[in-house]
Amino acid sequence: MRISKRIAIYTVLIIASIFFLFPIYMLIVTSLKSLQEVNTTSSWSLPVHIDLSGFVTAWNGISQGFVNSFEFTIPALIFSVFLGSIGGFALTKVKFKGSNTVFLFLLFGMFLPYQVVLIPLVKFMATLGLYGNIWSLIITHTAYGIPITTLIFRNFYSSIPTSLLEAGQVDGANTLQIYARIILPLSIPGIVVASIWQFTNIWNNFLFGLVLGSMPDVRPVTVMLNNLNGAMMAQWNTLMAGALITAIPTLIVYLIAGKYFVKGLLGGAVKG
Amino acid sequence: MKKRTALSIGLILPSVIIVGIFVYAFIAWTFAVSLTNWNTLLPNWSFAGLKNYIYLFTQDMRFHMDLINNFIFLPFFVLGTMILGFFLATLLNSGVKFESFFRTVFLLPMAISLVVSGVIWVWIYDPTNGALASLFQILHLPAINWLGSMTYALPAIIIATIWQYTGFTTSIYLAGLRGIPQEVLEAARLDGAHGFRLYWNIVIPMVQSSTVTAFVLMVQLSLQMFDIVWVMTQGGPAFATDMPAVYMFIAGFKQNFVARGAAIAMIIFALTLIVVIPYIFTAGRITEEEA
Repeated sequence: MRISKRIAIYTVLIIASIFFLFPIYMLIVTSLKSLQEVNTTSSWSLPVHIDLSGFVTAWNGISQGFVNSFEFTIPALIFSVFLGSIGGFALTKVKFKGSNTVFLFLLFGMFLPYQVVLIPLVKFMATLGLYGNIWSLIITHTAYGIPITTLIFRNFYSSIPTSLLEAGQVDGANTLQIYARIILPLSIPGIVVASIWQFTNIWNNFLFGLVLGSMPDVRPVTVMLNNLNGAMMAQWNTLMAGALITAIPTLIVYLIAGKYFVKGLLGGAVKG
Repeated sequence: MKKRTALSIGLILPSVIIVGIFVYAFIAWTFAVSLTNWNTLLPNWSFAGLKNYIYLFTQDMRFHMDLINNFIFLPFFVLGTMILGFFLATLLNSGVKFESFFRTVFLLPMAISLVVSGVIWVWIYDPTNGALASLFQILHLPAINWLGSMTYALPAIIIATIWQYTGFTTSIYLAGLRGIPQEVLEAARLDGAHGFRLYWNIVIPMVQSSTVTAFVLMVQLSLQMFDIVWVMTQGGPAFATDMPAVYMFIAGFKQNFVARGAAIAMIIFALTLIVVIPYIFTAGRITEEEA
């Protein structure tokens, strides 16, 4: 490739990187400034003095939400990944008549605009007496996670040769034993992909938290951040600190396991 | 064999029941509510026919604005993310060094909540101290209240959402480009196809399934766009950034126009089906052929 063309490609990639990183840069530098400094220095300059008062105020405002988000994200992640795993197994390795129809039935949920279920969801949780209870969020995120986790595992198990299972059958293992002894150990990569995807999705969700999180002791961190945004007008260091606190769990997961995050993204997108 | 089938059905049954309730029964419930007079605090199941829909389409100025805004938002967002995504994926696929670094950077916004992005972009657009305001000051340009402006608020939100989702389309296209066999490209080059013609005649047709996937996902996201709008403007100023999904939330949960909210939700749902139904059935057919 000609040198000039190479330089052009790198220049464009670097400009694009600046576009994608600039807001993250603003997030970090502003969160480390004092309120005075936010107002006196230009917004993109590095902090003159590192000041953590924004973090203190923000943490006071949203720490409960931070804990709440973990309290429903982790169980909902486990339930939805488990259901997706056994479902994906059933759909690929113990095929039955109509299994493709069942798959389409589940897959449809992936493209659901959540607006169309919000009103019944809240009434349903109220009827069950779960409104204002952390279980309302656990159940909701489990339910709407099933389509994507089933899809991820279905695609994943499709790539495991059926001959492995037949070998198990000759040994006299029943289907459940095959699942526990052969499939589950082979499923680790699928479990990682589905878990990372579910963690990110559930943690970042806003809409379900908004309609189900009426009580502070179940309110997700995203909803608390939005409330902070309304309450702390123009206190940008506090708001950016709050935003950073909210973003940190998923950012860490992404930076450590980005490869699997992309697989979840494409597992749900490309193979459809 | 029968025992295996029964077990298999047993494994899938919990998911089918849960999705049956939370997706299908709830959609039916929303549809039923949309046909009632439940525009009150207390449930009112008296049948209203299509009254709520007729009101939205013939009289409700806010809903008309929502549709207009949504149909302005949609092409800019969908084409923006798709064109940028294809372009960046092409550059990443040209054998550059640090490719995984660039990929990680482009996809970073997808890992954070739209609420976080929304708050950051409100700060960037802040008319007194925000990054954009500082830049305009340096350039001696007049200060603009981006999110407070009828003209600029919607474009400002479109830019923020393109920032959020371009990494997604880039990843979809990169996977598509990686799927093109090198021999095909070499053969085309030997036949004299270069630059634009190579892309137009060979590459773009060969990533067609990526294009379809990206298109369906981005259209579907546009139709239900809520989080970032709610955080950045709540639909303002004067409904300049209001979207059907925002109005649905306000009507259904803030103003007790439950039936109207349900009707808006059904309209969002119907619009989504136009792109999703053909996609699911083609995707289903493809996976069946593979299996």
